[in-house]
Amino acid sequence: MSPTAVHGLVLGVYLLLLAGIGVVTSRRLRSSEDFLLGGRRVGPWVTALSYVAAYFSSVVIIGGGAFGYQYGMATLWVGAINVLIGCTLAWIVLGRRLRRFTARLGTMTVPGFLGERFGSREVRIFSAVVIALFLVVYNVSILKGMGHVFEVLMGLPYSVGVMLSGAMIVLYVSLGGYMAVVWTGFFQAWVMGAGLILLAVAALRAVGGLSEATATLAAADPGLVYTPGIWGWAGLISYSMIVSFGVWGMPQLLVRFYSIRSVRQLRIGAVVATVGGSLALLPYLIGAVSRALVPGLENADLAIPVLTKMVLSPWGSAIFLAGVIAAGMSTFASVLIITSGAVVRDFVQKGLGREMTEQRSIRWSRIVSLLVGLISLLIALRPPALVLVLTAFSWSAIASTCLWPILFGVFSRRATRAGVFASMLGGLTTALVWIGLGSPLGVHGFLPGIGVSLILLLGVSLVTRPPSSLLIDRAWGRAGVETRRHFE
Amino acid sequence: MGPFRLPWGTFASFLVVAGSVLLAVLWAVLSRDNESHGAPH
Repeated sequence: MSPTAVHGLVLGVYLLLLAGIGVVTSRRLRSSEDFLLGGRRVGPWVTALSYVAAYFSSVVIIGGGAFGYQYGMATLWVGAINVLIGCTLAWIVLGRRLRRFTARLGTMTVPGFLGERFGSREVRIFSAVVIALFLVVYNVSILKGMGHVFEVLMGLPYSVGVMLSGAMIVLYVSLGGYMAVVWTGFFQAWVMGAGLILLAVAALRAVGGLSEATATLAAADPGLVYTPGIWGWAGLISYSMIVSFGVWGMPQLLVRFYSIRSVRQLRIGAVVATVGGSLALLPYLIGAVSRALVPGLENADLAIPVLTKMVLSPWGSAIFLAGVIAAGMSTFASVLIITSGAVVRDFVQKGLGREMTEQRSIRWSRIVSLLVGLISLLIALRPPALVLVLTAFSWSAIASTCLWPILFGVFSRRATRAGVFASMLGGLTTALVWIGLGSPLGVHGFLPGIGVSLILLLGVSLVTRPPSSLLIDRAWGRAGVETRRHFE
Repeated sequence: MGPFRLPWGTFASFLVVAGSVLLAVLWAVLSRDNESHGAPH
């Protein structure tokens, strides 16, 4: 069987399985809470592994490999900090509180939580618009990444790769909602893990082991082996912070904490997410090892695809291709459901005050998922910028808007609605202006964005009247222990 | 060079990952004990 036929067969089976999950989960939808949160009945394994799948997109695998190729072993630190801050600490610090607060407030989305927690419709609408707008940009970057993977590994035209993967995701998300997203994410995390482990083992065997790879890299340039090496501390720290601390403000990941069956399940989830998240080291490791095996590549983005062709059999590379596609699809699907919730639940229903029955709300959520997916797909056919540029742009904008309001929302009783609104507006504006100026001093817009956002939240909250005790009691659950028991 | 003929920086990044797993397990065990003793959350 030719390599293309093997790739086609593995991918065909894989895509059929995803469509099957979409059809099965679509039969269980009764309410908008089912569509957006899976009825808050999702178990810890599915929640945690779908978190990992949504976190690490195909952009991280291909882009992380490119970073490893370019800067060497020091990039392993990005993966390590991803695990510590983006997985372990996110679950420990945010998970339990977000689960409790959102259950008490009866909210299903990140804008919903912010709006109810701070008693502000403006905060809800503003965050919904920012999330919907910039997640479409993120969607485009994911689709673009997948299009390139199909192009390089299967020889398919870019547009066919984009249409094939985009159409399949839009189909199963609009059918099955959140349950389809988490179950496909759970399944995709295993495929992604298998693909990455397979390639890492094959690459290390080809080079003669990790010690041998290190020695080869050190002989070429000692800066490829030591930390921070040729990357430098500024680049290493700022990039690690964006892709690790930034996820604390990303709705497609935070929503996993809302939907887990109970607070107790978070304990298992934290361990599973940390172990699963350890996969984050592999793209950087594989990228660095590929530098020892195929030095002199002009485009570092090709490091992983070229290595795949070199060290894996057609069946092995088909599994790796499925893993990369899985990583992209699971992230895209998570983003799609969040965008749909922001538009229908937060903007139309709560923002504009349009009443809807549960069935009507599900129907509109499906239509919006479909439309947002199609818009992203059309833009991705003629994308405006590089994948990593689009990704960093959208992450910076959303994290600069949401990160501190979410953290203060679950930890501070003193943060005020004016402080939160000023923080969101100031953080977003600073990040966009900084990026628009071409990221002066080599610092990405994310860091000044969250810096200004924090200062405004603290400053404005201190000079405005504290929130009412009613609002605080409602969020912290002093109204009665029964409320807490009911939700746990 | 650190253990396994790896540079100390690379070895330490693996230690951070192992430490993260340990931290998650410890947190899971300790928070279970707190809940079973009825401590406030």
